[in-house]
Amino acid sequence: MFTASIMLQLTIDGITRGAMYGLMAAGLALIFGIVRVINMAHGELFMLGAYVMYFVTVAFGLPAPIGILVASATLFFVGVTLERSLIAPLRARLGDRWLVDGYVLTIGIMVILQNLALIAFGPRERGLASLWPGRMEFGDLVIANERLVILAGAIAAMTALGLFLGRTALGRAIRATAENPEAAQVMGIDTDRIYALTFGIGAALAGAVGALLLSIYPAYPTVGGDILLKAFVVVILGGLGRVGGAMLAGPLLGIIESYATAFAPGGWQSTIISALVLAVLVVRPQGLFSRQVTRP
Amino acid sequence: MKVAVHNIRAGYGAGADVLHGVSLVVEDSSAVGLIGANGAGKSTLLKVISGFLQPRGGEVSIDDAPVTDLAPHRLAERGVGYLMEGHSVFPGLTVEENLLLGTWSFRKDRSRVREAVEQAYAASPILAQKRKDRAGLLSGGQQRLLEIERLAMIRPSLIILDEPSLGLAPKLVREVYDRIAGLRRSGATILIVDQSARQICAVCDVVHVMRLGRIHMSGTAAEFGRRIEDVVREFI
Amino acid sequence: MKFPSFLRHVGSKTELIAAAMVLAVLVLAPAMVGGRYFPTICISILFFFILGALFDFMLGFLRIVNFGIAGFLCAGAYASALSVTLLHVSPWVGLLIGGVASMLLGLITGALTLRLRGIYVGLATLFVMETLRFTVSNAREVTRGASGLSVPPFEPLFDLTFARNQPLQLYYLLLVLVVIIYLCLHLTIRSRIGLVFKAIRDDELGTTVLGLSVVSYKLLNFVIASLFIGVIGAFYAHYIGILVPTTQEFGIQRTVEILTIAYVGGRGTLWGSLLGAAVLVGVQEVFRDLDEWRLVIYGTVLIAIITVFPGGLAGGVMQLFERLRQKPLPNGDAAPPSKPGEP
Repeated sequence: MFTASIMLQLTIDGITRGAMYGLMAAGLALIFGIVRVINMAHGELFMLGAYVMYFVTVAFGLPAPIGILVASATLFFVGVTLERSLIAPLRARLGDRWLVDGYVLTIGIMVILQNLALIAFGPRERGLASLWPGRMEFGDLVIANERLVILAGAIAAMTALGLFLGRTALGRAIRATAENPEAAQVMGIDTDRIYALTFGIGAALAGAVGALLLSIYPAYPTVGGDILLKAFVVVILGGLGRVGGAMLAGPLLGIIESYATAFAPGGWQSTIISALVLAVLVVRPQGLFSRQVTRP
Repeated sequence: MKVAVHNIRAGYGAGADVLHGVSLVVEDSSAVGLIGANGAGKSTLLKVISGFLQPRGGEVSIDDAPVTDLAPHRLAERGVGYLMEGHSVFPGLTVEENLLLGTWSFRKDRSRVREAVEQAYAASPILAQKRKDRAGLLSGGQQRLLEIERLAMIRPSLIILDEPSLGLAPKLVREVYDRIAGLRRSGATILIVDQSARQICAVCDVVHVMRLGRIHMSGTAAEFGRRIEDVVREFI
Repeated sequence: MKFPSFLRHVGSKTELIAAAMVLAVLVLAPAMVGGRYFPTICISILFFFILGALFDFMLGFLRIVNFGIAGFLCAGAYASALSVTLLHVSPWVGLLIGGVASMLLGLITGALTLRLRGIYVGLATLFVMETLRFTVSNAREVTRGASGLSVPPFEPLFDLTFARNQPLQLYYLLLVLVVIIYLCLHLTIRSRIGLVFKAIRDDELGTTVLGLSVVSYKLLNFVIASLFIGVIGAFYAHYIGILVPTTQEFGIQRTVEILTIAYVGGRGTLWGSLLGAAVLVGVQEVFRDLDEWRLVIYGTVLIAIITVFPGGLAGGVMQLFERLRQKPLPNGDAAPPSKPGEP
């Protein structure tokens, strides 16, 4: 059972899927870290990205990269609109009492988006056979080309995000706003725009993942639910609000999931992972990769 | 840059007024100090001037133009530097990143940005030494110096300082005030709130004493200097 | 009209009269309307009312977001159902077992997580709920998982039967449970314990400084709520007759329903959830045909409450009341200043 090639296969599968979870979670972490909302609607943003990808590539027959770009751009605008129209006014009204209410607000958005999608598109699953047909074989190891494309996409996106946040002025401004919004304003940073921009980026990431994973998770109205849970698992493992942590914890979850599915009986991998998350929340709520020593 | 407030009434949330009709003028290139006991409303007044708190009545003007609806993020582009009360470094970012953020309002002008950063390091060698360290790891005094250098980068015409000496050892307080005096010499108008009445009188031309949301007493620093013991005992 | 003195501890005169009127309606209306449809709706309303009130007991008074409330419902339901089917106890005992099971779950969850900051408690309870749901789903041999667990109905008691085709009797049974639970919650809020809850809600740090163990009080609140949620879960199991561990029954969707009712009803009031439940179950029935739109309406109403009407329906009622009576509000706020000309 435990042959090297099987382990390698599981690991690679895990990392590939996990890289996607990581990207999804990075968006969630970004939104929580800067805008300070736990975005319960993040799964629905994924769902919308999947639908956009479906319509662009399958209905209109355009190539996959265009689909991904359109999905990201569309979701960016959706994100900015949501932030400007619903979240910003709430934050303005409630000051620092707003965390719990922000959470519930996004629950409302989640319910609406899910059911509007159900009304507009019906419950049918709309999928894609494969993003990139064919596969490569290395002895016993088989990797679908598509997985490599997805992995490459994920790595590219994560690198871009990391460079953006770490090296550019705007990225610096975003990080500063997360730490001290008032001091950031004094520097001349329009924090309202930063919040909208960040939410947009987070949404775009979710949409991009939805698009990229269309062949694995077809587009249907309730696909967001499972995905959201996985994103939360990653965010908790990596530390709430830590984009870097999410990018590391994603592949970790992917690997755990891979092995748990292979070695645990029946459907117990979900239970195992849920229990693991609880353990982390209780023992190390700041996340596995956080430098923080004290508990929040 | 001249700053004037006229008949400002302000308060927090649904609470009572904290400022009851405060009027004050800071003439161009002068240095004005505000002293008073805790709760007198000094910080509140600064928050109104800087746009963080909307007044319930009255006007704020800069160079005789009304700015009562000013958003805080517009201060920097107008050449107003605001040193907030308490810690305002970005602790997770490095010293250099903190300084770079100070250049946000002119970030497109790369040579000016580089020059400003170099000047900051020249003015404060300790910051140069720690440029790659996270700002949160600096001592209280070093953080305060970082905040001031960061503020100085926009070459402000007006500097508002809220309790710059708070929590600092006396030697560091002197260093901070030396830097403020230096900024004054470069032509900036200064408005300071501080607990340290002595330092205020040393650096400022005009001093106002606030009490219970009103300006209680005003005069030149020279006059105050003579009576400083009485003032401190009675009001602070 | 003189009230017995002990009732003063329950509430003001206005509150007691209002409660009596509401109780009268709850007791008489289903019997007067009769049939089977109306009592079934009323059961739904009561069910969501008490769950909303229990959610509010945690959220409105201590800012604890129990996003896994459906998990405690699940624990109560399955504990009772399994005890009856496997251990052959009476469903009446099952109500107690369900309550205790849920209470134990609450004790463990609370002890582990209540010292963390608010959002972490919300996330932790979410994962407790999901872990429980997945476990129930997977332990197919015992729980029948997604195929559904058949649950026996309530046995006759004192010559009264509670068969599933007698919704009126089941309604009155639930009403008794609801009144008892509500009274317990209400009295707790009115007691010194409730005072500490409010102190913690308003200023947690300040309360700690006074020497009170904030975590202990939060745990007490959480455990009390869990106990009652479990009892309701047990009732639900024997009422509905079949249990499946889906998100609609015992997962995020159920929690969102309960949460919506608590918010729409009005946080921090307990009784607001009755209004919330009546309105939302009413909407569900009226818009029966437009099933998907119903949920869109739920979501929109939730957003509207959060952004525009934070007081919820209860807030609206109290404002109306104040305007009509120009007297002190039930929670003891000062009366508005009298107009000139009045004494």
